[in-house]
Amino acid sequence: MKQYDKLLKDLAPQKFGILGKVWITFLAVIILIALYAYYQQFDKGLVITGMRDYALWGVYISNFVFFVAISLVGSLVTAILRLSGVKWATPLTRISEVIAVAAIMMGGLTIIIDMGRPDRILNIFLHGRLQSPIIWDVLVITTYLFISLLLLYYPLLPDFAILKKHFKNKPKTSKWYGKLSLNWTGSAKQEKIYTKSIHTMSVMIIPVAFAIHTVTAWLFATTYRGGWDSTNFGPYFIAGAFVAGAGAVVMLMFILRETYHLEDYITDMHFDKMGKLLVLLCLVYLYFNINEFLIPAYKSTNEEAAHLQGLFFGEFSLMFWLAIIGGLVVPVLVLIFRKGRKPIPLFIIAIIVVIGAWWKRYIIVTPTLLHPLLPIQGVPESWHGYFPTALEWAITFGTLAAALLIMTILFRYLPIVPIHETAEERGFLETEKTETL
Amino acid sequence: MIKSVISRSKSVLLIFMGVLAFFGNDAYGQEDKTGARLTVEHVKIMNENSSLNIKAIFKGEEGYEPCENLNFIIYKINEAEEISEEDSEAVSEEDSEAVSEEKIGEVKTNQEGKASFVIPSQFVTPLATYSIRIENSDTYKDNEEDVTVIDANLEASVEEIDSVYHIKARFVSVENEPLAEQTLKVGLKRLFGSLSIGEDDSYETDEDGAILVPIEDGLTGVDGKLTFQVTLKGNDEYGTIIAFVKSDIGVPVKDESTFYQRTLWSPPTKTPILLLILPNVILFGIWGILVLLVINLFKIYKSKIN
Repeated sequence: MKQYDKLLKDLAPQKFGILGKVWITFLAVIILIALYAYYQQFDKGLVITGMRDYALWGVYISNFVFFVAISLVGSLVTAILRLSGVKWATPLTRISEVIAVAAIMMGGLTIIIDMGRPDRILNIFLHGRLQSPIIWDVLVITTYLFISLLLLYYPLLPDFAILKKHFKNKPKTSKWYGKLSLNWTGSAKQEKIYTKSIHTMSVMIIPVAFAIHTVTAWLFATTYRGGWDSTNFGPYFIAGAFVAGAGAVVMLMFILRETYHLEDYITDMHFDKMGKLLVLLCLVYLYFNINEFLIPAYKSTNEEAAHLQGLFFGEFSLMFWLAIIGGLVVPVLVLIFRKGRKPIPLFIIAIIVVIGAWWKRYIIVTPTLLHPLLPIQGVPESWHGYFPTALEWAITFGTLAAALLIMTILFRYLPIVPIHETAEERGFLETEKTETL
Repeated sequence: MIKSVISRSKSVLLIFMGVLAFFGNDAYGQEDKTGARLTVEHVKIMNENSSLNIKAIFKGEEGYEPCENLNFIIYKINEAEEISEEDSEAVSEEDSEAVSEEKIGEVKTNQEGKASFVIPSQFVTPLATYSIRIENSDTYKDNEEDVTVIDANLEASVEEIDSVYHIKARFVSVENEPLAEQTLKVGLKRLFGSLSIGEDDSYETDEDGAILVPIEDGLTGVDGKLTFQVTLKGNDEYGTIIAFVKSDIGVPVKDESTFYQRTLWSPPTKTPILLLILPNVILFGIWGILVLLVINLFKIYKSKIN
């Protein structure tokens, strides 16, 4: 009973401390600046961005691809590891589900931000063509958001019931958790529906998650543009998404463990396992990168040669090599050693991986657009290149801050580590039931 | 007397100053205006009309730019002999050089700095000089360009010789005298220009003022209709003369439009059946399961007792 109480005390949501409040204020300030920047964009149009006729996709679309990539981690940890019977991943499921929900929400919003006329968004649904990958993307993002919300909510039902009891001295909080628990008592019938539903979702979210990022890849791959015209793009995106998502999970694992003192639940073993997983994912992604760059470089058609020249030695070379070496090679070299998989080094590597993953999306989107099939002629000099404007950066950082804010708020009110599952795995529930009897 | 002289001098001075001020301003205004560069081409389209095609540009900050909305006044210059040939012997040599001019219309340039003025038929004469002028423009300096053209005719037809179709053209003066050694171009009129016909870019008229150009097989046209174009381009004496010849000797264009078919580029109402069925089956399949999962939440909510 004492163990269960300790577990409950450790894992029940806690109020923000001073650091938490400072963090929330910091995010709110960034979001407010972004809102001001977006007001400018809404008022004046996309002319306030660095995008022009050639670079018509810029940092917003790069950011969108990044969000979609990060969101895939929900399916990796929750579904793939759950269905594989990997028990050690239990404390990480809630973190990955929250990342998935926040990322996909902001991914959808980023697409609207990229629109010159967001007031016409309804036209996508009224006049959308099923032949267009953009419509597939809209449909699959909506589906993935809904399924991610369900996958976050379902496993919370027993936890909400537990929290209802836990906060009985706070009637208002208890009442809310009670409502959210949907009268969960853990009855046989409820357990049956619950288990079946979670299993169904775990199976279903995998193809949907693969679809969401494959379709995002197809937005590029269905064109004939150098750097995008590839049959490898779907799996290449999926592999990259898992790397970015795993990196994000490691980052949050570390921060949440340190902030909420969850060392008993998110242990060094979890970091070690996630480190190994990250090595595997980086190697798979490196393999796809070799395919993606080596073969076009070998064939060197005019457009591919111009594109690859820009990436390997040109204006994007610094970002490219930082993303490849810093974001993929270095993590593998560090994480193959046990010491590299300790929490602090892994956390640092995870930060590099996530930043590398973000820049990787940028260099997937932008360089290709600056190498069109017809030469750029008769346009102002500024149209020949692209770099985001200050307002564009402000909006982009605003979306990233909003995603972090969603996560922060969710972690404020939801147990970071699933209470019911952890108690069940550690055999505390049996003890509690016995003691209650 | 002195007072009267002073008073008169003052009046003269005032008038002088006024005149100076008026013309001085005007002179300053002209200098402040932009100089426009004019290009004028006389174009005669056989059996249709004669026109003056004007192009005006000025040297701006970013190179030559078109003069938009620039008004031109068109004059026809009538030389003395032309005015009255019967009296030409009677007039002195000095008088014979005298000219009169007659305003025949106005035209304004478009955004590209171009304007086309159709010459009223009564002003089309065997020898004509037209003066195209910028007068009293707020933006541009006064300027003029004169064009003198001798009227001539270009006759063209399609003829079948030894089972091969040919373009036969004859270039003659208004008195039907053949005009030899003149360069004519032969083309097939297309949407954005003229497709050259024959092996050479241009053909020179013989002593009969004629050319004969074979037409290659397989030229396509809507319902087999082709419009050939014989052109005397930018001639110093005759200007530009164009004769169009319509014929039915082309190969009818086969309509390969996919407008009514279900294709990847069709509107939403004409989505390919497979693309309509497959995504919808997947979508409804997944959303069907999602609805069941939501129903399961209600079931959980209702089943607390059991």
